[in-house]
Amino acid sequence: MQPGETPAVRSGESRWPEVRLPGFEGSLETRFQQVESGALDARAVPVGAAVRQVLEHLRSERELDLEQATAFLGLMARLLDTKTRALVPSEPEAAPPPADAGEPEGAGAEELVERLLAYRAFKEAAGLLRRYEAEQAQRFPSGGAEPAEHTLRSDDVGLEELLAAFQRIWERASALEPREIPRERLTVAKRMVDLVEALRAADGHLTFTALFAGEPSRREVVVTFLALLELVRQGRVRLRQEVAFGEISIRLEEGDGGERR
Amino acid sequence: MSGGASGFTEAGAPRPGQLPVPGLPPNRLVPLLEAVLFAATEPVPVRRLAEIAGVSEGQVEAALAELRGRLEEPAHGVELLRVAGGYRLFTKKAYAPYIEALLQPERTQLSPAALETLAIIAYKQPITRGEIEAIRGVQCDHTIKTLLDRQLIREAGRRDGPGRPILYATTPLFLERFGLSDLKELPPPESFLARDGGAG
Repeated sequence: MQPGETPAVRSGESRWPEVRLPGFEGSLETRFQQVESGALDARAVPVGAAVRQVLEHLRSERELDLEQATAFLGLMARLLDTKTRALVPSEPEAAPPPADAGEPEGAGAEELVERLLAYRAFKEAAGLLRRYEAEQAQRFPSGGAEPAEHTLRSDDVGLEELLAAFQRIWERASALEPREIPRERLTVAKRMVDLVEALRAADGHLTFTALFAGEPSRREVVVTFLALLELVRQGRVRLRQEVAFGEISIRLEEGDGGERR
Repeated sequence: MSGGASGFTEAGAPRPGQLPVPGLPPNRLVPLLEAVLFAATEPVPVRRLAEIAGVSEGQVEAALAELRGRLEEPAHGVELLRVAGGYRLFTKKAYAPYIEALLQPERTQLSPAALETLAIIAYKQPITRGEIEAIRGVQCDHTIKTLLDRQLIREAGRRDGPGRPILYATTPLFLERFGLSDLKELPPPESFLARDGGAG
């Protein structure tokens, strides 16, 4: 049985959509490798059109393959980077690159080529691992399945798994929350009553900063602020600022203020 | 037999809790190792096999070579391979379709992104996520998590420096899954660059 024919196996290469463009046809990945190795001039690659075609392909798929989509994004970004560098004229003051066979494209180009070569080497190594994997997959070990097979087949994590993971993190975060809540449960309604009482005790006048005296938690700050906004909306307090960026004063509107809407 | 001086019964099995005699007949060592490896659920290092059988590592090596040779014959459906620093019995490739019919394994191949990341880790380990991302040019959190979940890589401490980033390295399972006995079996990195890359 050939590695590619193994059931329940998705071949990595065939997942890449075919791109039909003048001078740029076939598997996107293969063409990109040619650009990386210099066999194909990056300047001749119509990146925009390629992007549109692949996006079309992605949309036509029944399920969004996140792995494929991200891999594609990375590929296009590097292609764009390579093309941009090729299009920008090389700086004259830059030291002439050593007598390489390739086209001199400035100081950055050399580093880029270096990087792409390193990356390409690992891509080839990945191809080798793929062959090793396919070969070894045809041998079944003594004592049964590998331990890894018991774990989630996380290779194709879908939205559901992502949501579940998020849910767990959210629950964990929520579980931590009570530690921040003071003994007395904090509500906007209660804080509104508190504020009015505090204003009365201070002859109906307080500064904005006085409301947040002490060391209030972030939660307290938020609740107090919301309570204040609500009191303003109900017309029960009035805010005034004498100078720009100055202290904001809060004045209690007693009597008719409560009924006014 | 219970009070006998010999650690081995007629069938060649050691009694529990007692070390086998050193003078195990050579013709017993091969089937003994075969039985142990048949029951094993992971690759067994030669040192461990020597301990179990109560013989020298050299004797184990010799017996394993013999076993390996015997199993290579078409009369046998399993073979002996050296993987992840130990020995393990595997079914022969030719019978894979039949094993699959029996077990219906749900093996999913690694994605190209995961394989790339794995290749980088295999060659550059221990390596941080940042360093992997610098090579691949894309974020790798997801693929690293995939590889961790599949126990192909593991966290191997932290690098000294800002943020003390986690280092990643491959696991024995990685070696086994890819049929390698040792990381040294991977072709040298230069072999990938040598071809047409150097000329360009």
